[in-house]
Amino acid sequence: MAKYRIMFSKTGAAKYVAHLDLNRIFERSCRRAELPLAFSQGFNPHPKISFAVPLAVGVSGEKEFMDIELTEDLKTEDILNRLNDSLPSGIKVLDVRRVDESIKEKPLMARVNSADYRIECEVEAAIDQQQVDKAVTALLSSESLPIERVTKGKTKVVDIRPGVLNLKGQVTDNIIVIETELRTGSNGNVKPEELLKQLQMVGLPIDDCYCNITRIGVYSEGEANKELW
Amino acid sequence: MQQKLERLLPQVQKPARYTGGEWNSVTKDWDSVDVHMAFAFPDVYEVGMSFLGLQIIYNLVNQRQDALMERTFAPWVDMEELMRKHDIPLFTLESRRPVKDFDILGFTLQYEMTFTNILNMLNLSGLPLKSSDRDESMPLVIAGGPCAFNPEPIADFFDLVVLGEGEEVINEMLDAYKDARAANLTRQQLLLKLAKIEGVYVPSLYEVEYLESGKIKSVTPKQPDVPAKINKRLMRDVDNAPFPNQPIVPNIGAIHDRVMLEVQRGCTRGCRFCQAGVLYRPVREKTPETLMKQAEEIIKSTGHDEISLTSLSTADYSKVGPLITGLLDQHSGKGVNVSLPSLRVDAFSIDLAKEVQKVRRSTLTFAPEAGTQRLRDVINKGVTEEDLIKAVSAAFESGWHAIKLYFMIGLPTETYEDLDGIADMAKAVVKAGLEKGVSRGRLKVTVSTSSFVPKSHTAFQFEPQDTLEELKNKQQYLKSKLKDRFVSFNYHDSSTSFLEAALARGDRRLCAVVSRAYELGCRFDGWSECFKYDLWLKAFADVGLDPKWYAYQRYDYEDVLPWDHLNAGVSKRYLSLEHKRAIKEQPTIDCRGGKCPGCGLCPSMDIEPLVLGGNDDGQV
Ligand code: SF4
Repeated sequence: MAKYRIMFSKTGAAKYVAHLDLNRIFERSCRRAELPLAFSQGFNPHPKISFAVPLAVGVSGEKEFMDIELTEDLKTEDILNRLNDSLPSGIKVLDVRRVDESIKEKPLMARVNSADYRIECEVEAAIDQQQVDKAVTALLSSESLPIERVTKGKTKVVDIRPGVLNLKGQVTDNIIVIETELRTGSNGNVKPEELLKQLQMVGLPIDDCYCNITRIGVYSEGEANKELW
Repeated sequence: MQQKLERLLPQVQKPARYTGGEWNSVTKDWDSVDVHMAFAFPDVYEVGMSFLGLQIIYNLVNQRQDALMERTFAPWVDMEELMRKHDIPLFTLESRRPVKDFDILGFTLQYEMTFTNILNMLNLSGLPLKSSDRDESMPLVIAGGPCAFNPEPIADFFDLVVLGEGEEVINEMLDAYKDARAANLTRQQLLLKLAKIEGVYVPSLYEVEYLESGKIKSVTPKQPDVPAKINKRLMRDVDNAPFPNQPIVPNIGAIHDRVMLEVQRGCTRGCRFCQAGVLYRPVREKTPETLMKQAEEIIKSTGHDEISLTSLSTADYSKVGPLITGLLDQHSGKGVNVSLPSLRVDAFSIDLAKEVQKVRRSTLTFAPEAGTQRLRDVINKGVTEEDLIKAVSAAFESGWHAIKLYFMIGLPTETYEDLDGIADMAKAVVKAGLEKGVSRGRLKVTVSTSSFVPKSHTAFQFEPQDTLEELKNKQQYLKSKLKDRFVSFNYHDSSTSFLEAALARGDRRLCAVVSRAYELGCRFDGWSECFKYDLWLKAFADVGLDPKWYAYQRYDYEDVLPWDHLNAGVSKRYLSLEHKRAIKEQPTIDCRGGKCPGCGLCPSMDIEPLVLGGNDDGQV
């Protein structure tokens, strides 16, 4: 049994692949690559693949993480090459490393605390940097940003302000590029779309425009190494 | 277009339906080939990608150096709306090119209720619906598949239709197309040339005349060198036929998301309502050696974890036992399972199911089709109540606790006693379950009924459908009879079946109805949430035709049927004979055992059934 951490990207057409489908894509790709996946015990064995944090349909990921367990010890380089030869277009393995299981660490999923996003919004008419700065400042200086969330048919009001860790906006012609770090994972989660709505409410003219959202990094917190690598 | 599309995708449900880029999909350099063909599936991606025929044809065409094939599917209503709003034409997944740029656009006709989707796809492509309105610059619009055996209700929309198995004829057509273009033939000349290929039907080259009664007087070729009768194509050597060893692996869950290993073609049982049983005759089994090899290659190339042994009746395949054992021996270590899409009503099938399903999770489904022995004799379904009880008892003993029984209502000669028979069978299954000690909390028997639809090329092609009212009465009657805590009952919407019947036995005059229904907004008629019965009735009324006339028509043996010129190989004389036997409740033997009841196909097509036979328990 050997555990590996895989850094991968999911872009282009693959950004529309839903999380459950992604799981299956990796399972099949491993089989095509003849990587001996380890399976769980029990009636309904499933492969030991676990992702750091799901990516929403339509959002690209430039640096995502997952762990897989194999029944054999293989060279990481080998795993990288074989997987890349077997993955459908848009999904690419960037790096592989062996996880040392003698060092106890929390499961990948439980370590995720925040993520960096880059959001490109194409607006109809050119706007100036001042307008963007104003909106960013307005949002950052708000004490709270209450939003409504519907979960299981119930509407709940949540304050997302504590979850907005960082926010910047840069404009060139009619493209606004927003860079933001948002709380992600099981201890609070802010969706990029929720942030965009708030930016809209403080005057950024991104109503109905086309936004290209990319998650550029996923991080843990309060650990010596913020990177999940 | 690329860019516009990028903006729409985030706004639709399941955008991956429209992106392509799946493993094993083929994107060739457009300019490197002579002929560009698009395969059009008139339903959503997930349904189309579950269709083995698509994978077979896709593989065949893309193996050619001089041709390419890309795919397109019916966009779901949300996507259609956006495409229209933003002027995006129907495009293919591979290169995202407009379908209109292709040389040939090939539809598959799997089900009558997809006809309006075909018109919608033509319209979204920017093509005129009618073949006669399309010009030289536009792709040739062709079709194949089971409904191609009565394409009359959509004949005006197609330049040509292919009857039967496509593996050989597709290559002949592509060759002829290339030659025709090199020789600068006009569209009309090209169609004439293609009409000479065996199995190719060019509807515009035939004149249909009607009698005063509304029935057909004659269907005759307009030109002397066009065949009066079109014979279906079939593969003589299915074992060596090209099979897609590198099928496309969808990124999103298709309905059948597994290796589809076709173990044989055709079925010999001769159920009298079954159209597929006629269209795919004679039976041709593949050898276990070929199948083992194909399974291995497909698993390697796809990474799938399940092999489904497909065919019309897989349990009939002579070597099914050894094949399953062989496949499990070779692949189960890697977490790969084998599954059977259909079971026969007998204990042998339970043994097979036991073999492949180590954990008894799912429901077992059986199809006795009719509730009494009398009616089962009428339809030639060789199943007895004893068989059923033996089969379900074995299943209960082996750990299953949910059984689904599938029946048809409205079969010819059916009475309420036959419906009582359905209820009795369900109760007998419950009793068997309790006797075998299935816990009362888990025992479940589901009765599922569909309404009989008379189909062309079957012994029941002469028969009217039950009236809609009668079908509804029968459903209600059954519902009252099936009130039992262990039994649940569900049935298909009968108005869909009524329209299906009107279309399945329709003639060319219905083209106007189909296009009117489309204009009125009908799409995805096979999806209950989209089916608009009222609009269909309005379409019939607007055109001045009566769907009842079609669905409730009883044909005489001597009548010219709208599809008589399309020959599936089983003679009309034999179908009439089978119809007479049905009325007399006489069963007909299965030709698998070597005795031929004389359906006429083998002598007329100069072929023989290929059954491997031998004993079941040899090792592969
Ligand atoms: S001709 Fe005889 S053997 Fe051939 S398919 Fe028909 S019934 Fe079967």
